[in-house]
Amino acid sequence: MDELSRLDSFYHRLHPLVKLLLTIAYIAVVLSFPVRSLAGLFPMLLFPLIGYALSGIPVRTCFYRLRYILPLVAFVGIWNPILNRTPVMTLGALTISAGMISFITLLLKGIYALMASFLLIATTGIENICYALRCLHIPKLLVTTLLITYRYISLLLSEAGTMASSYALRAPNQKGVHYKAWGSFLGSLLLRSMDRATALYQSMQMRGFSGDFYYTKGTRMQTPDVLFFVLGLGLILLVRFVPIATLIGQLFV
Amino acid sequence: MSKIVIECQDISCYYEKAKPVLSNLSFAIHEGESVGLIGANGSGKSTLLGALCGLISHEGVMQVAGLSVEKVNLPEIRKKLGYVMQDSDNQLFLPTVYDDIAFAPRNYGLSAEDVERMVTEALRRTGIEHLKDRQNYKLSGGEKRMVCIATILAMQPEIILMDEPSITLDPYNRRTLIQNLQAMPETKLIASHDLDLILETCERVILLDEHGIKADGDAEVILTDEALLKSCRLELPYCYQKVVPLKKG
Amino acid sequence: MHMADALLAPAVAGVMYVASGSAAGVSIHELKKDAKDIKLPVMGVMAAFVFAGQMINYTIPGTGSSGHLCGGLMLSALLGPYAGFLSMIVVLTIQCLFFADGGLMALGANVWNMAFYGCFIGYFLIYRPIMKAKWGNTRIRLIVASILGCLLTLQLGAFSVCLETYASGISELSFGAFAALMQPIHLAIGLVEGLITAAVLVFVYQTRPELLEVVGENETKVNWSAKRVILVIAIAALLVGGIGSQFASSHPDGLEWALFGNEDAGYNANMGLDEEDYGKSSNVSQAAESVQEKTAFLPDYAFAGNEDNPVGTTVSGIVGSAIVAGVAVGICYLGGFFRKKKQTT
Repeated sequence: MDELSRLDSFYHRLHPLVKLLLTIAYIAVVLSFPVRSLAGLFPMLLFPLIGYALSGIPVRTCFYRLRYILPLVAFVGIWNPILNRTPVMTLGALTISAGMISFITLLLKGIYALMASFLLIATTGIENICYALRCLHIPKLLVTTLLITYRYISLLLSEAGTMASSYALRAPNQKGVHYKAWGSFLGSLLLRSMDRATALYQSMQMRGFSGDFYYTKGTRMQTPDVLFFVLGLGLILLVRFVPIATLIGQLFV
Repeated sequence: MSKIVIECQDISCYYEKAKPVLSNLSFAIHEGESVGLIGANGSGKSTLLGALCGLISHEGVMQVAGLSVEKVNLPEIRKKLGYVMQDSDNQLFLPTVYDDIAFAPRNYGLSAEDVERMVTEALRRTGIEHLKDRQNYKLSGGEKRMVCIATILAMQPEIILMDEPSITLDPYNRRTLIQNLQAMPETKLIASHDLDLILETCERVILLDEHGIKADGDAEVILTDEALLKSCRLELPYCYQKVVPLKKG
Repeated sequence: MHMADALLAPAVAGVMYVASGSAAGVSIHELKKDAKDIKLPVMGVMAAFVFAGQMINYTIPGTGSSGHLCGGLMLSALLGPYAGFLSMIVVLTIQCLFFADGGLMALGANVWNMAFYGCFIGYFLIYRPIMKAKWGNTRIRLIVASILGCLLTLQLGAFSVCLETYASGISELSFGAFAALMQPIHLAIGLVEGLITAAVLVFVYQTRPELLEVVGENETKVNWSAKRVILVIAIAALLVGGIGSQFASSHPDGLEWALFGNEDAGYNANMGLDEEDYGKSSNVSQAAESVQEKTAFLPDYAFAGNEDNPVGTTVSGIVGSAIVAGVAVGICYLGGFFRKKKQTT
């Protein structure tokens, strides 16, 4: 993940604020499509794909993540074609029902939203996202906490992992942590985290911390950034309000 | 003799009222001295370092850099005092090495150019210029330790306190650390169980035992006194212990 | 309980952002009031701790299944409600950005459903009064407060999820049916969460009692803040209600109830799973619609009269989509092509 955000490309170099806002706008537009407007929603796929192509990040890295979310959405949506068999059109021997269409629409919305947010993270990295958040005047207190949390997640996760495996090694026939140990297991991790937090605070105090954080000044917004933003937003809105797929289709049919 | 930078008279520290961790300590450290702080587990080494920074409260007279260690003076004292903690992860909390080293200079309100200069200088002194843009949580233990020292050097302290600097380091990194320590002109107080490191980097040793100072003096004298060390649950540095000849062939 | 983006309408997501944002604003203001010691690193590390805590599976006695921790009330008990709330925002933000758990647009709603109720309602209405009470000993009160607090919190959260989904117009299922499905599941989840919270807090109380936020301090300040909290809820309720009523008028209720039974099997008492269920309910409601259509002998294949769905069923729509798909493949290919070219040069 972090390696991806260290790559260098046009899309990586874009101002983080531009990327953040475009991603949010994109997801908002995707969500605003009605439940069954499959053909209208479909061309929205182009935007993340262009982003992936520009950034040089393989699309499959994002689909790897979909393994968490897609089975759930699919499990949920699969009832749809079963329950709603109202045929909406026939393609040869294949009858397509309204339920199938809304099922696919739901899946696509989930996939698109994930593709877009993954692209944002993969090309921007936590520091730059925090910089973008500061540009949006999100309070420093919150942004700094975000940075610190991100820094310590991997550390505490590995501590918890060590504890869990040492527990599992001594309780081989047990799945998970026994309820009698809930309190002391998580509790001792908590106490250690608290101690760590105190030490961390002390180390900050020792280096002159007085409640304010100073950061490297991020890059300024350049003309290409603004252009990209306007262009991107314009295209997204265009696809939202003009049924591109249908129009193209009409040229041929 | 040069001026005194750390002075303690009758210092006591408590976590619980009945059990003092340190009681009635008195010593003075002069400018430019390297002092090793040794003692068994729980003898109060870390507590003493914490007290000097004003992180742990104490009773008695304690002066650092000519200022009494009390709340009003703490910002001024901490500017002159660098504390390298035992666990590097507690010290490196920002995403990149550069940001972390720049943390202190920025807090002291230096201009961007000065910050840049300080960071570069600190990186050069610790020999880790190549780590500048790396991410903190991806560093190895040895790299983290060096970055920690760099974060302290970047604030240009007069006095550096270190808690177990060689812990978790492999022999190569430990050697680099020792060379770095030897090259540092600042006043140093190093708490460690690594007696060989103390022997190589410090000319003076303070030995803590039973909540007080058991011995204070020349490093070579104290670290060769086997009986004294044994009585304090320590042993001779490895370089003085029986040498096992290499088996050849 | 993390809601996915796909389940929210942009307007509802926006309203929830405003609601959660104002709660965050109040919290920051309150924290800065006693600016002498902002517990910033503690907030950061404790937020990271919640992640670590979530990784561990707890065996639930007698069921063979396992649950995990959400953390709002626990953080409030340890850090105080304001710092706890901000930590929870951080947790949810990172979950949505880096772990694909809940969406970017749904973040406002998720913060409200999971952090707000736990940190403010659960804390001020349950935890604090119980901890200040005189009966029993502290240990028993901690257990009762944790369990009741988590139960209430998760009930409110689940209820909000229903409300938000309903207001989004995703679901045509009647609101009552929705709530009837959601609430019992979250009763079970809340109980597990409450038990874990209680276990941890009791452990902390036994080993390091000073870590638990002292209750009863700064009485007047807290009361004033509670008022504010209620004000924020009221405003949010009005906003959500306003938007909800707009959508509600366009959704017929009634027959959906008949399909209620079919839904049950899909539900899973798992924190990660249930979030997707709303999407399904919407599909079920479409099924209901289709049944309506069938029974009325008016099969309307092309969704005529629904201007939002002019496409999706026409041949031209399909042909066009196919071409778009071709372009998409082209983009991927071009991207790969240029990259290879770059590598060779």
